[in-house]
Amino acid sequence: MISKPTSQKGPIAFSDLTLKHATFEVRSLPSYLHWDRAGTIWTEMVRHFPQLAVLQAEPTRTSFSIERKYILSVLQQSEADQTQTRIIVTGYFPQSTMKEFGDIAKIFLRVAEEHLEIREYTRVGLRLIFAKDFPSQQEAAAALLSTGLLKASPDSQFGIEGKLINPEYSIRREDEKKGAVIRLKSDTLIWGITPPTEWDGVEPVSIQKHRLSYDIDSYTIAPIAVEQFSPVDWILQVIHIVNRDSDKLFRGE
Amino acid sequence: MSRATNLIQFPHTSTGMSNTDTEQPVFTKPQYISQESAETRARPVAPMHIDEIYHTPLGTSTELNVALRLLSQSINHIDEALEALKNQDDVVADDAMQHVQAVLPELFNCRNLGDGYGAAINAVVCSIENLQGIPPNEKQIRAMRNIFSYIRSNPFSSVNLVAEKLSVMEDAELNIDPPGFEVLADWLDE
Repeated sequence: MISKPTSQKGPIAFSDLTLKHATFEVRSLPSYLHWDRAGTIWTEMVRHFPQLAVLQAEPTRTSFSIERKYILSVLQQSEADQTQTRIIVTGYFPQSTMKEFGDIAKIFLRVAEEHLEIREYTRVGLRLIFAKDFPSQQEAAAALLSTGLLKASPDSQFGIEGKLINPEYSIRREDEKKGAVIRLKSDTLIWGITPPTEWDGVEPVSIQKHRLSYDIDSYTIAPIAVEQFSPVDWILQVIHIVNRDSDKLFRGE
Repeated sequence: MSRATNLIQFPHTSTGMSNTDTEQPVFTKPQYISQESAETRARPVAPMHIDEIYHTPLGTSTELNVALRLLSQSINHIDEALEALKNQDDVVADDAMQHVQAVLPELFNCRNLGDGYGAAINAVVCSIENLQGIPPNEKQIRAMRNIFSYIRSNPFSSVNLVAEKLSVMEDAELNIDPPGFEVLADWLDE
């Protein structure tokens, strides 16, 4: 899972990136049964996944994790003009086939649908984040620019002579029923932990990563009845489309 | 679009994320709702059709791919049968229904899709078997079309929902129980 930063020879291709993070989410009209049945939902989930551990338990949000690899959440949220119930599965470093991820989503959705009495989804989404780490900011930026999706002159501009760093490409495509947001971003991440003073012998940790991230969020806009929806099939379909079309995107087509 | 892109790292309607989430991905917290998202949400949208949800058959499971394709073919054959009956052509109608019968085993093989799907296909299989070679009449053919059409649009229905739909077949005097079931039921009652 820990990949060493490597330099890129030639233009970046989709196959050079690794899947780091996947989030599957369904939204519905609010189900206030969450307040009554959260315990029932998670008791049943523990029967399927004995290693489930509670992360958060509040009236509007319950979250559990499976061995720090998956986080399962049920949320009741109000945002702007909408209140909705959200059921989310997040996977860290999932397999590229997403088989285990899909199986977990299938069980979780079935349990939540039954106890929250959900009949229809207002939105279904799968967000995938792929990434590759580079030895330097410039190399990460160059990798993104090698796709040809952005035009940026290496010459001085606005009185600034300097390295070209942190380019970002972002588009949204939508039709009447579904959409996708596609982002390519080169960035520097700093991960740090400062241990408490009393932890003698434990030194602070700071890791810097120069990363090219490819973030694709596929979602539906139109309502879907639960009788029509299979999370496994829908996830499989999104993976198939991302694998099929990402190379073209990386070639700037 | 470029203004929204510059100001928002990712809109709050992104999958899995919102202003109130404490776990953040690579990108910064979303600042506000993007104009496109608000407009999209305000627009009334018709529910999705099954072929719009699974618009790339090669990307789905084999069972779903096969089931949707064969159910579509079966509905077409049933429509041919109904058209033939309207023209009083029993031979063509029977031929069309034979095509439907021929794919039932393969449809049954896809029963991993769900218990409701399995119950629906099983009901059609049993009802044809219980006719013992007698061609179904128009009302019976329409009842079968009804169940095929429902299960094609809702392949992941529960058994309870499908059971409600199967009453249409019973109203058309189709016996949807396995052959010999009534003997077993009587024996269990004793």
